[in-house]
Amino acid sequence: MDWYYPSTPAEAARILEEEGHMPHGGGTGLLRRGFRDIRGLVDLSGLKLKESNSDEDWVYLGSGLTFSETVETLSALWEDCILIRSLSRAAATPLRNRITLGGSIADFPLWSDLMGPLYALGAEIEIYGEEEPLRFPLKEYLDGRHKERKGLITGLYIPFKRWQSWYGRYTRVTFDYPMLNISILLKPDAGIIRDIRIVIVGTTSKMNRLKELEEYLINRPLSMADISLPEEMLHFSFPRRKGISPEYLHHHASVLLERGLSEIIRGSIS
Amino acid sequence: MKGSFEINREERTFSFEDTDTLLEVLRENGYREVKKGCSGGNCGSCVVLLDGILVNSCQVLAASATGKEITTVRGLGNIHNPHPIQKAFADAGAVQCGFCTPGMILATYSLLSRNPDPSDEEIRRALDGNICRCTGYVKIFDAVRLAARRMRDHD
Repeated sequence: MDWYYPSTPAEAARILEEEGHMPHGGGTGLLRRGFRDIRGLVDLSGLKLKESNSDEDWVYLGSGLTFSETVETLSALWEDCILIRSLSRAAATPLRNRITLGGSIADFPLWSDLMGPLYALGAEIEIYGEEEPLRFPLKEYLDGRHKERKGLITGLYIPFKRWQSWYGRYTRVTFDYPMLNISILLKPDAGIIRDIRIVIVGTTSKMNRLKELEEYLINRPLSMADISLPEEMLHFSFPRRKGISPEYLHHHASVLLERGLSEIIRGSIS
Repeated sequence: MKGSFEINREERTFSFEDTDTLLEVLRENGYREVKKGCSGGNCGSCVVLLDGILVNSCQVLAASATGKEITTVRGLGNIHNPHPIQKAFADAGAVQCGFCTPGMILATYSLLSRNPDPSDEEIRRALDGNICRCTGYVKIFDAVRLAARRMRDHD
């Protein structure tokens, strides 16, 4: 196996087109995956992928930012962003100092504390292809519509909109990886729910946005006493995990979701 | 492959395999104070400072760390000339079997370098990647507070 140390995204993208060549960001995903079938590793630390900036519409985050650096960056740029809450709780300090945004998107582990918030926020990813950077909605990338592009993820664009947010995760012990996590974004206006986004990660399809439930909740008054969730709108299922049944996880997700909605709605009234 | 590192302010060059972790390379070359625990990034016994950032050396490929500065607990101080954090851990009785101690001390060093007066919650968060199976953390937290106070007073 060979190591490559490119100095530009174009050079990295060119090497990555070769069979069996993979990018190396923080390396945590690679170590979990193992090195079978890998012929070359392309170290990305020489590329300038830790840039961040913002304008009125978008926040840009370089794919080389670690979770710790992302929290620090967003705390200065966008202090109520849900990613601050979710990434602060991911893994543990030494791992947050190593896991990168790009690696975590490319790898998308089932316990990801990154992907749910990104999907809810409507993030777009920047991929450096053969010639120039291209932008795709994250969902299109995950759906495989652009997987034929073997380019390098170089950054993320997140719509810079003010949301109230709630983030919850289920772990057996606090330092464990989450079995599931839920992201809720809420935009209240004049006593009603003007907009809401709900995403669950850890499901059989990895990630679900509960659009039917969102539509059910939009334009309802914030003061509604009963936010018990219609069972038929909870369209998600969970894979069997060691020692935990899918039914238990579904029940747990429903309780967590109800608690999250209750807290975020109550919080927006007070 | 061959790679050079600046370990505890000393330039060192080692031969290692492409897929070796930094933990493996350090231990094979005499840095046995970097403990091998879970090898999965969960226990924190192998942490080092990589260009000043706290990382699990079992989760870093050595080939990605060439040319970088590495600090192990030995780089902070030794029994003849201990760092205030090392002295605080001894004085507070925060050491039992000692296996987690190098990691705990480096995590404390990383915290106090950025935040000289941390709250209990900030200490808890900074040490969230370090597991101790002996002391139950009370004495460790005492040691972090003691070290912080002494380092502030010394400044």
